[in-house]
Amino acid sequence: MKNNIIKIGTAIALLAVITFASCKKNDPKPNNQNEEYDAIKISFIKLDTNGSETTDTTTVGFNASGVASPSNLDLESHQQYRMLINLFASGENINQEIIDDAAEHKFFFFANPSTGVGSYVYNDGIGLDGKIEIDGHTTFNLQVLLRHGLDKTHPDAQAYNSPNYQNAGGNNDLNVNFNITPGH
Amino acid sequence: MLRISSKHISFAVMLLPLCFTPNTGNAQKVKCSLAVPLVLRDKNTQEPLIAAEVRTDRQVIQSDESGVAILNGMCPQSNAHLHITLEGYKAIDETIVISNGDTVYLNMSPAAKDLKEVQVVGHKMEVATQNAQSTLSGTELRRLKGNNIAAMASSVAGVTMLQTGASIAKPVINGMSGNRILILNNGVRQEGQQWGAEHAPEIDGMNAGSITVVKGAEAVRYGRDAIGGVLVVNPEPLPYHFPGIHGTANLIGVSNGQRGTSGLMLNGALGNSQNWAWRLQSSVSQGGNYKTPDYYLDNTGTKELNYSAALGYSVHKWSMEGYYSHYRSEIGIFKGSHIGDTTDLKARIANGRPFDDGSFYYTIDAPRQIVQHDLAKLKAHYHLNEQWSMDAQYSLQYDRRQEYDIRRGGRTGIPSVDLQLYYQELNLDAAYTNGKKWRGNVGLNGSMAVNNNQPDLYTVPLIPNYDTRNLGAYALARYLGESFTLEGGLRYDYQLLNAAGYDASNHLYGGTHNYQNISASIGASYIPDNRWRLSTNAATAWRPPTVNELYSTGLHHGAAQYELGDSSLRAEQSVKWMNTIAFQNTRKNFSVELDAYVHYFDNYIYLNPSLTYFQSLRGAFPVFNYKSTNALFTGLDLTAKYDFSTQWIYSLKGSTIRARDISNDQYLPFIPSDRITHSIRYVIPHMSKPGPVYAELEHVAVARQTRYEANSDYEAPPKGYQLINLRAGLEWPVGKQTLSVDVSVNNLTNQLYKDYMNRFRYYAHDLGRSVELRVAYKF
Repeated sequence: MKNNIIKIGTAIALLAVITFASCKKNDPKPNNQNEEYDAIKISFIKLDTNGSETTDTTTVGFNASGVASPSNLDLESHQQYRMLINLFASGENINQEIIDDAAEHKFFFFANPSTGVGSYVYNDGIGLDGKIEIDGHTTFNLQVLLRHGLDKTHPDAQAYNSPNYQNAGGNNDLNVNFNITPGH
Repeated sequence: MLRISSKHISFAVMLLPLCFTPNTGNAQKVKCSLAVPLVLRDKNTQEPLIAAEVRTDRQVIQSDESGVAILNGMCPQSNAHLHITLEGYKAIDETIVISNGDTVYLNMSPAAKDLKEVQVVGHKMEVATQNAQSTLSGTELRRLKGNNIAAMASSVAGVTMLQTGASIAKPVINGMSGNRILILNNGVRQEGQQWGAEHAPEIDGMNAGSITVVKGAEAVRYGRDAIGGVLVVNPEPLPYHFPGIHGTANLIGVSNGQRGTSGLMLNGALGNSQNWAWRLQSSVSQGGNYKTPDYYLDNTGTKELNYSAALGYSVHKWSMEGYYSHYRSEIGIFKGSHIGDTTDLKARIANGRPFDDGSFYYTIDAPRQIVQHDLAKLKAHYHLNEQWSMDAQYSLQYDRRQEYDIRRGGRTGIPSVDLQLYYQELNLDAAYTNGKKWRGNVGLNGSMAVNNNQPDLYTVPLIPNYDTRNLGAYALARYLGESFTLEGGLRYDYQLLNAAGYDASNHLYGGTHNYQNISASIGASYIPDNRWRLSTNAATAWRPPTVNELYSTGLHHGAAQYELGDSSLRAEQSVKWMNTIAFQNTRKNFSVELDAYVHYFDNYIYLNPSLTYFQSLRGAFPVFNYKSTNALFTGLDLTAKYDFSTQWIYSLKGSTIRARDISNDQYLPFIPSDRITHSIRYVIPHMSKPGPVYAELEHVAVARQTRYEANSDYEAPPKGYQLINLRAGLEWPVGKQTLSVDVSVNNLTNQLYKDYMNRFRYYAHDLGRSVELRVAYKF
């Protein structure tokens, strides 16, 4: 019995030594976090009456905190623009990630007051690329909302400004806003 | 030495029947040849009592696994004097009438609770406390099998749950959860990732043979975290000296979630003198989406696979036990709880329920958790002499928690959180006893934890990598008088914490922290007669801050909040004064127990809403800071039982808590509201075949939590609710085996409700009606 105790004691001691040796935390590694967007650019390319692009482009940028620069864009009323959204993570454009998961991503746009936007047409079914018509004459706020994981076939996921977009499921991936002042 | 001598007695009880039983049958005269079955059951639970020692004038026998002891060679129409003893029960000393060999049923009453000693480390190291405690075991526990540990424990008054949906539940004892309570799993401090509110204890409830809730501070015995209470989960003791293979098979089906659970436990004794005992146990469970009365909760399936093995050797002077268990669960997180920003959250709260009706399926998608927990322990017990006995226990735990989120760019398959924890602990305890009056324990605990984030997950870890070393030394003394017991203890604890991580801007943070504390406890109990029992216990306790409280710096996606730690937080200290008044009338058909407590905190650490917002491209998120304050908790737990007759039994339990941040004169969040549960049970205890039959109707009433700070929560606490539950079952003795069948219907009326303590109440309702079938075969 004494021998047994010694054997078992030795086993415990050995187990303890082996495991106690690995009792220090690992040195942390810097994060390879390139998943979260840290910058966004939205460009408005003025279209001529035939719908062709002109060289007149106005761009608004957002930093990681969602602050728009400039905070107000001067665009023309009753004018169509091609609106291009570019998402960046660590300086790299990650639009392709959204395009790869096109089935579960969609942008919605809300003007407040709603008279600010005359129409919006998705060029790509997502909203990274679309055609927007600016309307009205008073400054309005444009909210740009990217939904992820929604059911894009849901009736409430069709209109660019569907007030009940929540019904289609999913969650917000991006939620920024800025002001537009229509001129002329 | 009371403790050791009682062990010797129980040891002798084990051996005596083995020595004498085989002879009794043959030794009797032919004249009196009746074999009278004696069935021993727990008075309260009607559970069969195993290994009770039955002495008559001529024989000493032991009840088997069905609680049956056969009295051989009895004379018809005679009297027999019986003396029946079983640890934890009041001895029976009475004369029975042997008519013509009919089965004799005897109920044994549990011994006074404060004298019953909770066995926490295997079958030898026992801990008695003057704190209020309740144990679930036997039949009562069997009817709860298939639920998680927190749900099982919540059938004790004063225990509730903090839930993250239906599948993740943390036990709450007197308003305390997480790192403010201690869970002892098979005598080992459970160390997983319990710092997170949505991290459930990694324990297989199917392996539990008993669950004891100690509702007081027990820091002197167990060290840090034993602030609000201790949840002691033990498997059944190893069956030394029980020859053959015995076990239990369980099959459980639950309609809500179409969940199936099966469990098998085999155990037995080995060796010439049956000094070896072993056990193998496993459980498997799978469930799909849960359903509220009106809709399914998408992606709430779960899968669990657990197994354990134990081997022990026990002889007169010493014993040794090895144990290993593996727990693995995969839990789907309700899809509707995955939120982008506060706009999302507010829209869901305004809707009050998910935007779609969901559907039933078993598939588990992101968001989901995969949790694995392994425990290995080796324990030795040695009797030095009549005064001293020693216990040594080494345990190693490995915990891995992987959380998968809905992610872009094919990263859904990469966990957002992947933590690996190693925890090892060495406990040494020496127990002393001097005659009948004095008992004492001195001991040392040493432990180390390492918790590492797996790198390269394309996320910012919620907590830094860290390691801790802990050292504790304690001494406890008890004096057992005729009608009273006094107890006192002291403990010193030290923790060294070393943390390092990179934040979202890739700045290195962390540091080294030292925490130390002296805990003290004093308690007394007074039992003037067999009707009244009074006990009181005051104890200080502490816990060092957890790493998330020190270092959180980021978005907590599950909660849509931005959490900021404070590395200057001091350790939390508290004193809990727990008092119990228990009464049982002389007829013993009425009993009532009232637990009342006052719990004061210096430096209560909590998540305080800063009322500012963190702005990001994803939207706005409210900022919460970990802060500390002084807090006061007071509460009452009530348990009562009245037997109208042997058939009709009424039970009642209720609890109420008042919690206050006294520095800022405001309420504290996530405090369970007042609740009451009462039931009426009809029992037919003495039917020979089938065995005991019961039917029970239960009514649960939970009040709205009206004590909260308006701006500290996204939504006001939901209104109160009432539930009706129905249960019925029977036990069917099949030879020496028992087949039991229990059927229950939870939320019979399919009530649509939300519970304040469920973190998913923002997005969804609680569960609708569920029919549950439990079949257990004990052999």
